[in-house]
Amino acid sequence: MVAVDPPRRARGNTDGATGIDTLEGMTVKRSVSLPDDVAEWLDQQPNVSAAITAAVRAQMGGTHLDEVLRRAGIEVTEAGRARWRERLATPIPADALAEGRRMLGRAE
Amino acid sequence: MSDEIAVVFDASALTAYIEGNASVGELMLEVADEGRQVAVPATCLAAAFASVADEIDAALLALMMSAPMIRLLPLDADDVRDTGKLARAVDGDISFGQAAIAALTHEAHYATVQPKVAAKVLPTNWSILDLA
Repeated sequence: MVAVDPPRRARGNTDGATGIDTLEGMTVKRSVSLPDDVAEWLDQQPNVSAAITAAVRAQMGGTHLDEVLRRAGIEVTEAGRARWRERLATPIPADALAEGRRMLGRAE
Repeated sequence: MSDEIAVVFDASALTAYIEGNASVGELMLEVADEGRQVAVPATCLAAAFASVADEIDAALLALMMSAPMIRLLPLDADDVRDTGKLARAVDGDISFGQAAIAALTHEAHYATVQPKVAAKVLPTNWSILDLA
C-alpha cells in the first residue's frame, strides 16, 4: 500500500500542483490509499488527476444507471443483454444507409 | 464515454421504461458498457411526458433522462421540414419523424415497441430493435 495524507481542500494556492489542477472545476484535493499496481499504473499516466476523474466518473455513471433501472422495477438478465450485444454489433445494411442518406438529401 | 450515438429511443421506448420493460434496461446497460450513447429526440420525450398516467411516472421519466448515456436531441430548424414530411406516413406523429431523422443522421439503431409503425418512417432493412 501507498502511504497517504488526510484529505485537504485546496485554498487557491496551487504551488506545486499538476497541470489538471489549473483546469476549471478541478479545485479539490484528496490523498488516497492505493494498491501498488494501481499506483504504478497512475504513475504512467500523463495526467493523474484526469485519469482518476475519468475512472471515478465511469463508476459513478454505472451506479446511477443501476438506480435508474431499479426505480423502474427493471430486472435485467444476461441473456437479454447478450441479445442486444449481438444486435448492436451488427452493422446497419449498406443499402439502408444509402437510402437513409438519400432521404436526408446527402446522397453520395 | 464517446459522443457516438448507438441507438435512438422513440416515445414508445420511453414509455416502456416507465412500465418496467426489461429489454429497455438491458439495452441501456449494453450501450453504456460500450461507452456509447442513447439519443432521445425532444419530441419523443414530450410525447412520453404527455402520455404518463401521473406525476410519479413523469418523475421516473425525468430520472431516466438523467442516466449518463442518455443524450437529449433538440429539433433543429434544419430538420423540421424532413421531420414533418416523414410524419405524414404515421398520421402526422412528429415524434416518429424526428426519431427517424435522428436514426438516419447518426446511422443508429432505432429502438421501439412499435416496429411496424417505425418501419413506415425508416428505409427498408434499417435496424429496428423491437423492445416488445
